[in-house]
Amino acid sequence: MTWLRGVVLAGTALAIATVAAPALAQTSLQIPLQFDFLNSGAKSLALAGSFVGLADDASAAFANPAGLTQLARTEVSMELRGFRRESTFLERGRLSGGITNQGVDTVAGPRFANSAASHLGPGFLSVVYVPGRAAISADSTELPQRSWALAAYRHEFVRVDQRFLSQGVFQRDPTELTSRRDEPQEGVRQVSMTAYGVSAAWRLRSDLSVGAGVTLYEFDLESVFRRFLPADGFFGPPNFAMETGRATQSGHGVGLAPNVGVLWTRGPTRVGALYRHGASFDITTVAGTEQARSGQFRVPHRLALGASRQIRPSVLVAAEVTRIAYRRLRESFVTDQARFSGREASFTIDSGTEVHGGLQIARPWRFRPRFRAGAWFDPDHSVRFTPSEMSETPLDRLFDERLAAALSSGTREVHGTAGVGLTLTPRLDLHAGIDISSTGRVFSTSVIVK
Amino acid sequence: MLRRLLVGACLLLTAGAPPTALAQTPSAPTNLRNQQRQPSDNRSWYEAYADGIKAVEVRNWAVAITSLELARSRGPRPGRNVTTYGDNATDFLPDFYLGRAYLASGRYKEADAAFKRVEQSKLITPRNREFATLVESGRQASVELLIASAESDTAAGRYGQALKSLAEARSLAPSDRRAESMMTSVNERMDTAKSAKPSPVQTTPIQPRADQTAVNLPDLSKQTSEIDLKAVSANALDARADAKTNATNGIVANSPAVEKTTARPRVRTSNTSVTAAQTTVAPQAPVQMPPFTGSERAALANFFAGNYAQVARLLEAQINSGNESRAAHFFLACSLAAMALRGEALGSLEDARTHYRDAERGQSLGDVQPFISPRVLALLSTGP
Repeated sequence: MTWLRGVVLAGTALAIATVAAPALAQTSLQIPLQFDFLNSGAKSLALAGSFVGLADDASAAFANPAGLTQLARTEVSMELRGFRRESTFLERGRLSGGITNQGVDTVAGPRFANSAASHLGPGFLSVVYVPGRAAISADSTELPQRSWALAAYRHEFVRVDQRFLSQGVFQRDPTELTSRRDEPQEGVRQVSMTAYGVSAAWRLRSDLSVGAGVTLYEFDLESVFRRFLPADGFFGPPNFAMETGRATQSGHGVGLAPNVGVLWTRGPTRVGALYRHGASFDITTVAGTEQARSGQFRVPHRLALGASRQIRPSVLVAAEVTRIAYRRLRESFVTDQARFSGREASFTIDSGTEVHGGLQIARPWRFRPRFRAGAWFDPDHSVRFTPSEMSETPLDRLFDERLAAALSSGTREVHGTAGVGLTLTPRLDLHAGIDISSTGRVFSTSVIVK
Repeated sequence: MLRRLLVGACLLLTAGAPPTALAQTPSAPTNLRNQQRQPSDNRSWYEAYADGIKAVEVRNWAVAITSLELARSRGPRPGRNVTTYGDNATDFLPDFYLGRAYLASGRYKEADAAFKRVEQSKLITPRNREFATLVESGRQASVELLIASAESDTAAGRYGQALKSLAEARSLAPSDRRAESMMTSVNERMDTAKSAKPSPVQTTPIQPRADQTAVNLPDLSKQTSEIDLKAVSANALDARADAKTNATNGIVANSPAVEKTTARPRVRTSNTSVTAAQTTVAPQAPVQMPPFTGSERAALANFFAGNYAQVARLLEAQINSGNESRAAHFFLACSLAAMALRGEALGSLEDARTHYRDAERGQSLGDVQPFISPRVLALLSTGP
């Protein structure tokens, strides 16, 4: 029987080898990369991120620097943020043809699994310097004015840590007599982006402020995707000792990007806007024995318009609409990974519009608790695959089928948020907030020292 | 096309020019224009409010007023724990500090108005640390306003009105001797004026006494029966109406005898509040009443000031000494009834009715009764 095993292994290797080279590059695309650009601070989190039109504490240094002119004294904000997020990927199953009930070919249709990642760290730290104003004495004649404020901050902008293991789906083209199998694969993807920034705000009039800042993003991307031969024949589980190929994506660097904001105040109403330019970073992709290729990871631009209103002395409402140009991720980062397939045009990412709304109710109790709640709409901004042309070969048809299935798990979500803020002393506020969605939880607590 | 563009550009430039530049004459010197241009005050309301409080503390009244007026105009409704920005809150009481700044700046009318706004808002209660200052400052503003009003009235020859204001000022601030000395001065002026040109309505000054609260009284020393009681009562009742307003605001005690007088239409003038009666009811038909004695004059002054216990003491002493009169019985009856209404001396109600009957002596009191609270009269007339 040894000869038989040898034939099976050789056949398997042959069958898989026919798609190995493109598969290495496609692997990373089969794992959706999806992350959100949340505003900093627990207060903002509890108000569903509706902070551009509020921007009234030290976290405005990042959210909308124009709001810094509201601060009457120097503030320090520290945030501890943790999250757990799940990414869905195609884990096993048979996409076409009948199951054989051999080895791992026992599941009809696609089966998805979740890659869970969690992180806990100092989400945000900022210091806002508010210059002192001229002291008033008995013979002062000048009215003390103050028009500007400065801030510096550090913000854990993006943290992605994905690990996954796919058994490899089975497929069979109608024109072929035998099935094909996507190679079992293991992947690790880590993306981190930390923002260091300075912001300045200027009060043009008593009701109008503008702000601007420059952010230095420190970018780090490490991705490793490995393919394995199955053990015990074509239908067997992965044999991690038999690696057939490896693809990596990596990028380390810094990038500068500006942001500008404006805040207009009229009585209890504030309207703010922010534009944050996305930075770009160089990345390198190495697939198998191919020559290393350079590409770019482009952070989406972000345009937000928000408003808030103190509708009663104890009730505050805030809303925000944010347009995020996720489409920028497609350029280079996605298309480069799809290059081998020759189907770059079939991969798309839609830019999305988030809608945020939050409510705060203050109670005149000890520590003046402020109860917050909100919700926000998170559009689907995953990579999607839509065949742009008719496939003619069995390999192309199977490719279309596999990618369409693998990238079908992205969905729009509604996040619910809640939180509380306490004034422990006139110089110390404590906030806590949580964001819950079907794919993740974010918890944040922040302290503001004034 | 080019011409249109040029014309359009010129229009844009013209429209973009600041209005002041268009309004300036070519001969206006640049430095003068710069001096006239005030820097825009871009402070937020809570910054201006904090500045205002600081300025009050260091007694920089000009900065205080500017800052607090700005805070008041730009800020939210005054209140306790008003959110300033973010999660910061403050007690926002601009009128309280504005009143103090106005008062110190001699702007009594505005100070009085500011303190009244504070009182109406009920944001400062006896539990608050600002209460004592509010009471004292509010009283001081009222006194200063009354004295200023009296000075104005005296200069205009409205001695009765001046005396009324001074009497009220003295009742609000007994330790302030200015009102008393001014009353003496006003009485002297009245004497001088009367000796120069006799008035058809005989009025002579009364000498203020330390143990009484003076009101605008007619000449009671001439032993004349032609007393303008209606005018007296109107003035006195108005004074007490103001006192009632103050009492409502927690400044002075209430008086039940004036409860019905608040129905009189009030007219707000530029300097002080007066009643329609004062401005429209001029000479009144004299009421035939017996002449008043010295005790009766003092008692009358106390009666209209709401000091009913003092009235009772004075008139009972007079009646017990055998010096009875219809006026003594009438005002003693009214005082006792008013005290009964206040709940101060329930047992004296019968005495009140007895004195009321003695005052009637078969004659009608209809000319005097309109100036007494209907509740008091009802109490007196419903006895056995």
